[in-house]
Amino acid sequence: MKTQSHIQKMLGILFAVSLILTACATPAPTSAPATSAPAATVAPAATSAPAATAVPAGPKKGGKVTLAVWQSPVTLNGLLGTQTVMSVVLNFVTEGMTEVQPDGTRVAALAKDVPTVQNGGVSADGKTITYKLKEKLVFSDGKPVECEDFKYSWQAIMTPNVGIVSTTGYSSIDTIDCPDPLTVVVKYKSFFAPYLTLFNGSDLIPRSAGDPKGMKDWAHNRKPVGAGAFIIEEWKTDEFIRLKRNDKYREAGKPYLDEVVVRIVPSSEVAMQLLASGEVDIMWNNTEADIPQLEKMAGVKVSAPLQIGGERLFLNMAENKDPSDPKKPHAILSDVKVRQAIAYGINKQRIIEKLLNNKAKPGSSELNAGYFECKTIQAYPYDAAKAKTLLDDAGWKPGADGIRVKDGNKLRLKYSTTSGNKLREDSQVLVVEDMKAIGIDMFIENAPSSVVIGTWDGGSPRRHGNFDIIMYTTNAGIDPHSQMVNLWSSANIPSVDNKGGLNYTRFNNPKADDLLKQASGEPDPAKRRDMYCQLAQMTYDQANMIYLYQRSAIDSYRDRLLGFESNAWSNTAYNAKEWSLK
Amino acid sequence: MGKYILRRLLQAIPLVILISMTVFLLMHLIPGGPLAAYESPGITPEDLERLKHELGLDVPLHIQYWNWLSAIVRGNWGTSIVSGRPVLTEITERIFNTLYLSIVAFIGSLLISIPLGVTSATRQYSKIDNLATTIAFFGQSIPIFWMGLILIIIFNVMIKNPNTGGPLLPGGGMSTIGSDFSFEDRLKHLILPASVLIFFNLGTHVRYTRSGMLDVLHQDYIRTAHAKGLNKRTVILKHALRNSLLPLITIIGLELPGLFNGALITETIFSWPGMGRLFFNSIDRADYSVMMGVLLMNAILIVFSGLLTDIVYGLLNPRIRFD
Amino acid sequence: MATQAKLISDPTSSTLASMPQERTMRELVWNRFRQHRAALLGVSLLTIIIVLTIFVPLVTNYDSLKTNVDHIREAPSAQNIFGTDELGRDLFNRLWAGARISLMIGVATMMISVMIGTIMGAVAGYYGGAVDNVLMRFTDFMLSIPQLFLLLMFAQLLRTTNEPALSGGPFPIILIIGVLSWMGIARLVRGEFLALRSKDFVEASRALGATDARLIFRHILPNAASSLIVAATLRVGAAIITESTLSFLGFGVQPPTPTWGNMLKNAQAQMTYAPWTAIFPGLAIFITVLAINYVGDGLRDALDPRTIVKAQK
Repeated sequence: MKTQSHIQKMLGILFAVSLILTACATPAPTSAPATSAPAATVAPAATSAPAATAVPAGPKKGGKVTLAVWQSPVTLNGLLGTQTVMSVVLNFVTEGMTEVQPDGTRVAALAKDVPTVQNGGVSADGKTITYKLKEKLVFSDGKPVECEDFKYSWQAIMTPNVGIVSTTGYSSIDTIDCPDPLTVVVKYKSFFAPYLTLFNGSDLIPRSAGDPKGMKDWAHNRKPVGAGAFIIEEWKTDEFIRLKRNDKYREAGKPYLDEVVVRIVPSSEVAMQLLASGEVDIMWNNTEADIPQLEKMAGVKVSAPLQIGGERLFLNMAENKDPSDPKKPHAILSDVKVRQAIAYGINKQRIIEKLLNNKAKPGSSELNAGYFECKTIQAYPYDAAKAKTLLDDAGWKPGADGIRVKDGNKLRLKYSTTSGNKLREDSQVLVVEDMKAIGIDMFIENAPSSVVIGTWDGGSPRRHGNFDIIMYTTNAGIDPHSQMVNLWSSANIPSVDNKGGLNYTRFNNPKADDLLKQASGEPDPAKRRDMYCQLAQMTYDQANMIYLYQRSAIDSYRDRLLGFESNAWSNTAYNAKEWSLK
Repeated sequence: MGKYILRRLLQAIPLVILISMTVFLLMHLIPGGPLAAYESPGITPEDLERLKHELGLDVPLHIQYWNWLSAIVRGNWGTSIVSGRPVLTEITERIFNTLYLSIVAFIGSLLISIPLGVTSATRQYSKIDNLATTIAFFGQSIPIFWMGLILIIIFNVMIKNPNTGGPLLPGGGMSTIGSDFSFEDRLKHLILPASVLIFFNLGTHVRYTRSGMLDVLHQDYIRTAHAKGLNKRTVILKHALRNSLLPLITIIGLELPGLFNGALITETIFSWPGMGRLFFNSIDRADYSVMMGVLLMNAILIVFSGLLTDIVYGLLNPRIRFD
Repeated sequence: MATQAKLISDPTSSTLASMPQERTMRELVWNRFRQHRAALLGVSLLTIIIVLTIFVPLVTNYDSLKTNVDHIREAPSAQNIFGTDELGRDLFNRLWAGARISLMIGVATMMISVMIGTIMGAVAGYYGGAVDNVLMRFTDFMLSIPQLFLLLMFAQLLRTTNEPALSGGPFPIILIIGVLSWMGIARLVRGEFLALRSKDFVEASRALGATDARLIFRHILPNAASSLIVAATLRVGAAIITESTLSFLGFGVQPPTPTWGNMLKNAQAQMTYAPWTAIFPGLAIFITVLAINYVGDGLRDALDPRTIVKAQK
C-alpha cells in the first residue's frame, strides 16, 4: 500500500539521517597542533592578607556591619551541623582553648598558654594534655567558663544516637579530670597527634545547655551560648541572624561594633549586587571568577590569603581494575618517568591566569602553608621539552597521530573529576590540551561528586582502584598528621577488607611507613614537621600526586570597614572583635 | 455523586502506595545511598558507619520501606539529611510560595488565553487569530529556561531604573531581603517569573480554547441560536462558551498538580523559594528524605486533582453520568 | 466507467481536458502542505539548520577540546560571528557541533518513544478489554509522575552507576527521555486502533486468515499513520527541549561535548558580562523547535483525511 511504503521510506530516511548525525557527532581524534607554550614562570609571591589597619586614636566604637551569605544555616550547634555558614556564625559567638593565626601559628584564647612539651602542658608520651584556663572567664550568659564545661562538651560529643557528625579525636580521650575549676587535664587512651585542634570554639558547649540525650531539641541549637565577642540576638530562618556585642567578653573594650547582621541572600550573584550598592559590607566566600567584577567596584577591597592544600591529581600507581590489587602495578602510571612527565607537562600558570584570575599559586606539596609548611619543596616547573624527553626515555615513542605508543599500546589515560563544576571542567580541557602536546591522550570522563568523592559501597573508583587519574581538592588542615597518614601509609590502601582506606594513589614505601610511625608517637610538633617534610620530598620525587594549584580564601568588603583581616585557617569572621567603622 | 467520590478515593490509595514504592526503590538504587550528603573531607569511615546505623540505613530494604511508610502515615515524614529539619516543615514552608507564583501565572494565562482563544475562533484567519496562533506556537517552542535568562538579561542587566540607576527589575528571590513587606516590592519580584510561566502556558491554553470553541461553533444548536435572532455576543457567551471550555478544563486538570510542584526550572532560575526548587536542590545534594517527601506529596496531589477535575467536568456537562 | 473507456480509446479527446485530474494521495497531501505558509517557512528553516549542522563542523574540523585562552569571552566580531566562550572557543562553530548532538538526540529519542508508544497503543487498542485496561492504567501511572522529576532521578541513577557507557554521553540521555515520553503516542495510537479495529477492511482481512500481528502492522497501523507522523514530528521538537533542559540543569550531556543545553548552562554564570553566550544557543533551540512545530502543524492539516476528502469532492 502506498502509505505503508511511504512510512517505510520516511523511517528509512530518518534512520539514515540519525546514523549520519551519530557518525558525525562522534569526534574523530584530530592531530594535536602544538600549543604555543608561554615561558615557564615561577609563581608570583602569594598575596598576603592586608595587615590590620593601625588606627592611631583607637577604633571608633559602635556601628553595625552586614555580612551577606547565600547558605541558610539550619542549626548553630557545632556538633550537629556541617555547613560552612554555621562555622562563620559560630566564629562570632564562640571561642575555644586556642586558635590559629593567619600565619599558621597557634595562640591561646581561653587557655592561658598553648600546652607544649616545653612548658609542661604536654606529657612526655603526649597522652596527657593539661590546659590552664584564664581567670574570671564567663560565657555570654554570665556563667563561668570552667573545666566542667570542657568535660561536659566531651561527653556530649561522645553521646550516641543524637547525630553527632564527627567524634574524631574525642573518641581517643580516656578521661578528663578537673583538679580545680581552672585546670583541665585530658588523658588520652592512645596518642592523638593533632591534640591541639580539639576544644575549639564550635566544640565548646556550656554545661547549661542541657541533657546531651535531648540534643536535637536544645535551645542551644538556635541560640548558641559561647564566650565569643558577640551574642545571638535574633535568628529569622532563611532571612537573617542578628548579633550584638557581648558586654561580658573577656577583652575589655572589644568588640568595637554594636551589631553584626548576617543576611541570607539567595545566591552569590545577589550578594555581589548588594556589595556593589553598599547594602552589605562584607561578602562571604568569593570565588576567583568574581575578581574582575570586584576589582571594578568602587570602595570595595578584596582579601585573598592562600589556603593550605588545593586541587590535585591523584595518579593510580596500581592496576586500573575493580577491585585493584596493589601488588599489580599500573600498566602506564607505575613508571615514575611517565608520572614526572605529566607533572612537567602541565602548564599550571595558564590555568591560574586564565581561569583563576591569578588568585592562586601553582601547587607544590601537601605542606604548602602554615606552621607545617615545607619550604624546601617548590612546584614542578612547566617544561614540555623535559616531559617529552622523559617519555622518550621511558620507551614511549610518538605514533602517527602524535600519541605515544609502546609495545603496541597507546599512552591513553582516563581523567576524572566531579561533574557540574565549571572550574574543574575548564581546567580539564586545558590540561588535556597540554597532555596532547607532549603525546599523551587523556580522555575526560566525569561523574557526580557522590561517586568521585564517595565510599567503597557507593562504588567510588578512587576506593575500588578502577581509575587512572582523579582530580579534586583536599587539604591537610591545620595539623597535617591525619592527612599524611591517610594518603601515604601503605596500611591505608583501600581494599575490600579496608573500605575506609584513603591511600588512593596506592603509594607503598617502607621508609614512608617508618616515618609515619615515628610521627604518630612524637609529641613535639617541630620534630613532626621535619618528618612530614621528608615524606613530602619522597612523594614529590615519585610524582604520584600532582599538585595543580593552591587556592585563596577570598573575601570582599567595603572600605568603611576597618580592621578586617582574612585568615585562611579560619573563616570570614575570624577577627570580628577587631572590626570597626570609619 | 458521593458514592463516586468515595470509590475514586479508595482506588486512589493503592495508586499512591504504588508510586511511593516505585520512588523508594528508585532512590535506593542510586549508589552512594543516603549517606552521600554527609560525605565531606573530614568525615572518617567510622563516623559514616555510625551515622548509617543512627539513620536506620543498615537494615534490609523492605524493612526500611515499611518503617518509612508507617512513619508517613503517622505524620512523620522524616528529616532532611541536609538541613536536619523535618521534611514536612521544608515542604509546607515552600508550598505557599509555589502556589502563590503558580496561581498568579495560571490565572494570568487564563485571563489572556480565554478571550484570545474565543476571539481567535470566532474570527478565524483574522489578524487576531494569526497573532494568537503565533503566540501559541512561540510559547510551545521556546525553552522556558532560556526565556527566563533572556528576561533577566534585558530587565535586570541591560535596562536601568531611571530613578535609582540600579536594575529595573530584581533578578531573583521573592522579596528584598531584610526589608518589610510591601506590595510594590512583592510585585516587582513577581513580574519576571510570572511572565515566563504565563507565556509558557499561553501556548496550550490558547490552542485548546480555540479548538474547543471551533468545534462548538460548528454545532447545530449554535446555528439554531443564531437563527433565533440572538446577537452574536449572547450566543458565544451564553451558549457556546460553557461547552467549549471542556477541553481546556481537561488540560487544566492535568496541570493542577503542576501548580504544587512548581515550575522547577522557573523557580531555579529566579531563586524562588518553592517546591520545585526544593526538589531540584534535594536531588543535587542527595537529600533522600526530602526527595521522597516531595514525590509523595506530588502523587497525593495528582490523585486528588484528577478527582477534582472529573467532578468539575461532570458539573459543567450534565451529559456525563457518574454510573 | 464509460468516461474511462472513452479515455483509453481516445487519449486526445476533449473529455480529458474537462475531467478533473485524479490525484494521488501524495499529491493531495503535498498540495495541502504547500498552502500552509508557516509550514513552508518551517521546512526552509530546518533545511538551513540541517545543512549548517552537517557542513560547518566538517569544514572547520571542529575539536571541542581545543581552546584559545587568549580570546576568552569576546563579543561577536568579524573573526567570531557569535563571539567566544569562557575558554576562547568560537561560538559559531561550537553551536553547529552542538547542533549535531542535540538534533541527533531529538531524532533518536523520537524513534524510541514512537516505537514503544506504538507497540503499547497498538496492543492496547487492538485487543481491548483487560489488556487495554492494564496497559492504560500503566500509562496513566507513568503520566502521573511529573516527567522532569523522573528524568532527573533516572539521570542521576545512570550517572552514579559509574558505567562509562551510561554516564555523560548522549546515549543514556536518549534512553531515559525515550523511555519516559512514549505515553502520549501510546494514547494516540490506542485511540486510532479502537476506532479502526472494527472497520470492515479489518474484518475482511481477518476472514482471509491474517494473523493478529499482520493485521496490526500491515493493515491498521498504516491507517493510523497520519496522526502518528504528526505526533512523531512534534516529538522531535519536544525531545530537543527536554534534552536542553536536562543539560541546562547539569544532568544531561557533560562538557566538553557541546550541546545547546549545556552551552546555555555555561552561559548562565556569565550572562551579565557575556550575554552572547546565552543568546545564541537558546535562539538556535527556539528557531529549530518552532520550525518543527510549524512543519508538524502543516503535516497535520495536510494529512487530515477530512480535508482530503473535501478536496476530492
